[in-house]
Amino acid sequence: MNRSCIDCGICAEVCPFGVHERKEGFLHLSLPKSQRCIGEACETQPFYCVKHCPVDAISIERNPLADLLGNPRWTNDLIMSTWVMSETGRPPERGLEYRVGRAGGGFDSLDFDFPSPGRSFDPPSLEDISTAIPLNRRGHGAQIEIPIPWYGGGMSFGSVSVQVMLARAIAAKAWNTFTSTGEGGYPDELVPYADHIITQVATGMFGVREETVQRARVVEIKYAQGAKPGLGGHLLGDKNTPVVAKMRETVAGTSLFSPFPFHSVYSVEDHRKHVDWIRAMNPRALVSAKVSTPTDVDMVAVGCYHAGVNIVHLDGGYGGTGAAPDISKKNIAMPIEFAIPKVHKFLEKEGIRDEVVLMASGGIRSAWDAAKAIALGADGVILGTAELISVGCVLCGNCESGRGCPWGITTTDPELSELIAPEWGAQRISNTYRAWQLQIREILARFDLDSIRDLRGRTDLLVRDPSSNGGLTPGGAPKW
Amino acid sequence: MFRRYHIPTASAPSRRPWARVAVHRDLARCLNCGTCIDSCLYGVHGRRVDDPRFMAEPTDHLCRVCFRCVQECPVNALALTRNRDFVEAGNGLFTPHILRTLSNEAEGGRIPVTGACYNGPFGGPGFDGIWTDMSEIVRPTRDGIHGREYIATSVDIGFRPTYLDFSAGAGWTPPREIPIPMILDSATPGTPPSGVLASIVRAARTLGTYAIVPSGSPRQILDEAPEHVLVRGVPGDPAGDRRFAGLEVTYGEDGEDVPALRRRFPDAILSLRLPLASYDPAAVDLALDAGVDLVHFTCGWQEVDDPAGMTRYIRTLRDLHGHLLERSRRDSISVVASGPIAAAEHVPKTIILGADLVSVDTALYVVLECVPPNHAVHLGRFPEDFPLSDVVWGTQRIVNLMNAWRDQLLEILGAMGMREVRRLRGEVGRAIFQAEAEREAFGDIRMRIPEGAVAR
Repeated sequence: MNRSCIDCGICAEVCPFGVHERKEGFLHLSLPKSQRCIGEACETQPFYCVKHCPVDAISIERNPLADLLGNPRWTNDLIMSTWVMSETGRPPERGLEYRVGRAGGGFDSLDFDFPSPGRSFDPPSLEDISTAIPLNRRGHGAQIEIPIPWYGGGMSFGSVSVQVMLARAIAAKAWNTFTSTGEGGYPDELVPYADHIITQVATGMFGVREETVQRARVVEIKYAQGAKPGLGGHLLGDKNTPVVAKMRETVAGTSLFSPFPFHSVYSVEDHRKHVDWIRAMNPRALVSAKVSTPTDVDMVAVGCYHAGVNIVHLDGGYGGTGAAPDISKKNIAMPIEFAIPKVHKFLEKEGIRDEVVLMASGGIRSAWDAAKAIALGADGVILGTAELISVGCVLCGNCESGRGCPWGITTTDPELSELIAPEWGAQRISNTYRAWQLQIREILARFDLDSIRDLRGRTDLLVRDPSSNGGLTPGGAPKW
Repeated sequence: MFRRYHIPTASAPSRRPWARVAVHRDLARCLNCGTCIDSCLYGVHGRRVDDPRFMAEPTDHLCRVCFRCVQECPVNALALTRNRDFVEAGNGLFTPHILRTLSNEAEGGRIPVTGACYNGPFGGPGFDGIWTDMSEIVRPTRDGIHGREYIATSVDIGFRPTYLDFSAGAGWTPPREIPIPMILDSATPGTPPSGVLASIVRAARTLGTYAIVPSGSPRQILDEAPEHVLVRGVPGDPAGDRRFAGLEVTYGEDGEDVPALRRRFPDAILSLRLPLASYDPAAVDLALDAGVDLVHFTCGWQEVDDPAGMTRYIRTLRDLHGHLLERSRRDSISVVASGPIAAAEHVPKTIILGADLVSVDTALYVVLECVPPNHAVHLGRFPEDFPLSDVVWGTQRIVNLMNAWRDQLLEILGAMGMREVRRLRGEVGRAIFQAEAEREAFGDIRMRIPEGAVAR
């Protein structure tokens, strides 16, 4: 809106999307809410405000910020789509590519080979399609099932705020799924949600006490994480605030680099003893082993099976993190897309596939990535970054140092962490879950499948694109 | 007493820091309310020193692109756009991201650490299509890089015996060892200013490694640290002076003198520079038979600025390594690789592909800021002067860069559970190649039919 505006208010009357508004009792119009504008698509509409303005005060152009947002993997479209989903509970209706990124490989080079052109479905008719998966396929132990094929991955107290952890816990409870504490301990605020909290036992052993292990229905042993395989957790000095230091029983302001590996685990036999130790404390709990994706990830998975875990959780190389060396994020271990089929096929060959629940994480950005991961052979997926984006993360990547996140998400700075209200955050995450479930159901419906479990390992339903080249320059690296 | 190798880093701020974005303040809209000062955690916004009623120009290079100030400005006065100079800098090998990373590494010598996931493309040609492996449980190093066990980054220059002979009369000179698998190379079409050369030589001395400098360099540069200098060019005075650690000649230019050079300088490090364009197994045989210490496999950045060139470089490097293996003489000679070495990750990857060590050339000029940000990297044009005071800064910039690269190499080796970088040489089994991994993972997935016949 330029200075010609005479505040006549016609634009506010015609726009059905609420871009223009004059608040009650105000003389001037509020600043336009550009995020609601449908852009070019409105040019042919009768309510196109630009045409209605008597003094030509309105112009509409592409927001240059959109070009600065995102990257080849988490594109601006995927980030904005996640915001739309977390706001509305539905995928975006127009203008945003919400299914794939532009990474030039992996999930972005795979597509579903639907049998007929797109049809639209009424949501109620999809309700019969089951999106539930079991978390335990062994014949013994708690038979826990979750109604959606994902749960929240570990993001530690310290790397994120307790408000964000609460938001995740509230959403997990609402959906009867789980979220993991991450490495940094089990804040007391989460105790009311204990039935939906996975206690993570990581190499730093922060907050690992009998009571935190005993109150959980699922215990997750984190051997490694995808973003920095071979290294332990990183919490840089400024983010080790007094509350975090207290939880972790360390000195505030010191940088914490968790060891790698567990000091007590140097062999598969040690891994077995490790699992037995958890079971001795909590016989009822399911045990998950979170590992990264080395060349021998299939052997690691078999080892985990023989060690007695219920869930093998593969965390791929392109997963998120609160802090990791850039060289590790890019270069160590394989992307999750390669690890899933490798492990799935190997476990099948070993004859143990149906005793193991295989969960995949490390850059699961959308319901479509989740479905592809399952089609490649996973039972379900685990989410991290997608949930943070749901509560407003812009992926600026400044999580790791100083006061942490300017948006109050990946920080325990007392002032910044107030920016996220847990109830609001929970609703955002829950909306995203709803949108994803809708999309999963539509994918299954188009293949005439009535359960997500029937999608597992169905690589015959996928096609791959031989020439996807997500915007790479001739030299191979993108101009970024 | 054992003295653990240590690289002394110190702050050496960039004189021309890279700004990814331009922060625009529309002065006609700005209320000077100062909300942006509170929004920004990074100090981009502030008030004018001469008149605090008004906001100052934003400090672009501090911007971390979090958008908070843009969103919170009550009058939409702020905008961010990509900095054109940044986007257009460099080339296909030295991308803007790489240029900026080199600059950051040279500032403080630290490993670049950031939050959030890797934000680049899935893979790519050349080095981008190679991942290094890690070892989940079986690991010889306790505590990774932070613990008591020591990961050795030293490599040997020249002949290494495969067994020791203690019989009488069997003399043995231990191989020359450098503490990091990097040497510095002033390789350039022209002769750099003496300040630039001095920075390189002094950095080599501080790091305990070698610097390759042209034989036409000023005498006082060559005399600064002769035991760290490999003189490049046709030998004659001053290269004839036996004080220098060694010399380097180029195959195809003065290569036929190699056996004669070896006889003339029996104790010097003799390096045969082998450009990609003139690679020939016969050159390798010549080097072996003459008793050369180093084969320096190299190319200009222009030759690896595209996927085809990079693929050719990698294949040739593997051929070179393979040829030495076939002749059962791999440990008679060290292979040093340079040309496409633009980032820390290229060091372990080049060693995996078969080199013993790398030589760093163009990256040095980037961190010395000999490169105007909006020109392709290093076209042989140097700043008009590089005065002596800058040599202290220049030396520290290179030392910082090598420390950052060394520490990142340790991260990679630590993740693999490897105790020394020598064991990484040629270890392609410890790397994951994108093309192979994709064949294995997606091999049973049908290809999309190009005519769009696949229904969506």
